[in-house]
Amino acid sequence: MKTILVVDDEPDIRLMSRYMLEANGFKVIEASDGPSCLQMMREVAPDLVLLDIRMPGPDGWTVLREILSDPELARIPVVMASAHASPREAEPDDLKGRAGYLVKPFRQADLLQALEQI
Amino acid sequence: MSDLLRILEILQPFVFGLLALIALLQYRRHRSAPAAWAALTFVILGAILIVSAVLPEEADTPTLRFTGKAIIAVFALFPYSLYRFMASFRSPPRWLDSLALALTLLVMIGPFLFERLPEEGEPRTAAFGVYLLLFLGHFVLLSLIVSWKLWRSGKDLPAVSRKRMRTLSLGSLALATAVILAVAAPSGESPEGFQVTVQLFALGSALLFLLGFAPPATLRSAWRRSEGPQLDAAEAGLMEAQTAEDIARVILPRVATLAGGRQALLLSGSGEVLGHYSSGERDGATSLQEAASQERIVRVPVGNGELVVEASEFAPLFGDDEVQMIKRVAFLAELAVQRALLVESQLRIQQQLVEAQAVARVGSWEWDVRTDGTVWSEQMFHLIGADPATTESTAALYRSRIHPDDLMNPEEELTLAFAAGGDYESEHRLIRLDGDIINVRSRAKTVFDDAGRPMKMIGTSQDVTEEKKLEAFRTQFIANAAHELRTPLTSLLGFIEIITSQRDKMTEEQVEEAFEVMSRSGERLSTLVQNMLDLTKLQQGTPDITLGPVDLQQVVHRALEANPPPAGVEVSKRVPSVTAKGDPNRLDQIVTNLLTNAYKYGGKRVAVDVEQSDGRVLLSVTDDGPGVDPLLVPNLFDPFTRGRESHRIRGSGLGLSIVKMLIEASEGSIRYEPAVPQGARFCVELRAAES
Repeated sequence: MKTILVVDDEPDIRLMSRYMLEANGFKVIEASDGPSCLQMMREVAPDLVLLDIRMPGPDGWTVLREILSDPELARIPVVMASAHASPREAEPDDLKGRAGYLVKPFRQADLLQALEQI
Repeated sequence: MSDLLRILEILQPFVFGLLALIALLQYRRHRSAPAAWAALTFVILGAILIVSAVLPEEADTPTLRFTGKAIIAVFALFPYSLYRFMASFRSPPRWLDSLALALTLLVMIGPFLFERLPEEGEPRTAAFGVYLLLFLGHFVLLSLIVSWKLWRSGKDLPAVSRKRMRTLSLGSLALATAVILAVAAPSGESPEGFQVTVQLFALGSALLFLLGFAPPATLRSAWRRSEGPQLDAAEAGLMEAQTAEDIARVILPRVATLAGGRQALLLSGSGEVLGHYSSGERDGATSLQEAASQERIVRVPVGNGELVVEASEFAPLFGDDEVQMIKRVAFLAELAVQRALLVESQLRIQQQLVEAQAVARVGSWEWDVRTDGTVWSEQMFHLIGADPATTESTAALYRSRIHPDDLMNPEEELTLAFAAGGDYESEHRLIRLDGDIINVRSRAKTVFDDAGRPMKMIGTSQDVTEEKKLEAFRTQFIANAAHELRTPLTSLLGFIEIITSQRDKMTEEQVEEAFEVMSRSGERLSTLVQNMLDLTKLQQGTPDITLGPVDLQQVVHRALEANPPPAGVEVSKRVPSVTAKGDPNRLDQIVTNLLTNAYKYGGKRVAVDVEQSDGRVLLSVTDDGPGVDPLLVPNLFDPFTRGRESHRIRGSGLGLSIVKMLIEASEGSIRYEPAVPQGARFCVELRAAES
């Protein structure tokens, strides 16, 4: 069973993602911000990270940069979740093509499709 | 009798007849009391001399005897009439008037008291000697008074008037001398030389009177010469005058002096007094009324206004020349007034332009493409923060202030602009001399010569910093709003899908949980939309706010009643009855927001304090929670700034923005400060209600 780490500051979004993923046979773990995300990745080594971009504290981009700079973590695929209509436009230059994208609000099908990108 | 004496005797009646004629003509022209008395004076004199000349020399009939007496009686009228002429300018003391009249009557009655008058050369009786003394005394006294007064009065008058009056004064003296000599002549046939002297004095007086009354043009212009520098100074002053007030200041004193008058006024077309000059200490209005009644007000049109001069009493009779000079000054003044109006309207237009540019924060400029020379409007200097008085405008100076990141290749840009017909537009940042950075939008047009080569560019540079800030704020606001709306929308839609597709696999608790999330998300969406509408309304400056006196004690009381502290939280308040300026409903909203924020983010104790000092009212809400993250403080009142733990807390992220705008719309301010030892304190400062 694949493990997915859902990182979002909104508990409702994490809960919703958990329902959708668990119904499709994934195991879900949660983090509410960047630092705890990195900590969990190191402890649990999930198969994929669903990372919210806009969070208090370090934002999704900062967290992604840290993930990519750590060879251990860089192997774990990341899907960025964003409320931006076209997240690739807002993507910093150094992170282009380094992650998948999921646009909020998303349906279950969108979420599963985003996971398949990886 | 020698020929000389004969000629003089024949000349006499002609000269005095001429004088009488001129005096009559003067009266026809002026029709004033002095002119009337002058005419009477010289008609008397002329008539006496003409009548005497035609009377047979030695005939002793009763008619002739009476005529001789009448001539003497009428002759006594001459000095009196001259005295009245003088008195009609300035009234002498009443006793002097009475004395002059009494003496005159006495001298006039005198001849008729004698049975017959002694012939020339005949020995005089003692009684007649006494009469002669009386006659002489009367004549000399009145003549001297007139001479003295005319001489004295001329002192403060302009040259022509002064000299005319002094000539008259001398004429009066000469005639008195002639009369003294004639009367005092020793009895018997007097020596011829003596008679010639008497005749010469008489003729001399006639000439002096003539010159005084009707000086020939050459004499007038010679006399007037001394006034030249005065006039020149006035003209020079007019050339320098910039405003109607300047003109008034320059010409009025000089014009008043020219007219020997006390005051002069310059009136505008609408009757407004542009300038007033007064030399005396008397009340101007009274003086003017008096002057008007004596017909010595000179009015000369200047433009559509008027120059009004209160001239001296002597001006109507003696001041023709001065009035002419005043008219000349007035004509020049009119030109100066027109020029001043033109300059004034120019300056006004220029000032309006400067002000308009300052208000719009737009500077205008011209750039000569070939010489690189520039002309800037004042606002251009203000844009870069330079002093227009001390800075020289150069294209290089402007270019040096452009932010390096925005500096493009000017030649390339210009080539493009010229190719495109000369229209140029650019947006760039300027680093002002004080270090501030502003956004500037430049627009320009190019002027080409006949050969199509660019000559100069004329353009404007506008400070669009505020516009840019607003634009950035709006963009950020929309991005934030979209994000904030998407979050509850995502969970709402997500759970609807989950329930729809997985309802049968879910436990009762899971379903309940899903509905809770959906309901919470819906509420959050609704709050967000409501707050965004509120904020937009406030930003547009159309809040529903009616300012009036509000008792903060009641506001706090109402807010606490509607929002009681949650369990475990204690509110302490120190709220006296203080009246602030504000809108009661909005103050309720403000206090409620601060209070509920304290409940949400604070700890167990919340304090509400109100105090008044120096026309200000301070309201603070303090909690003992963790306080606001220092990183968030600078943007605390910006829309969508929310605390780190905000996911625990329901809110839109707009509350404090709304509070701040409401307070500012109430002419107050709000600030955040960390509480001691820990916690957050929001301090609201409002104006105390005016009592």
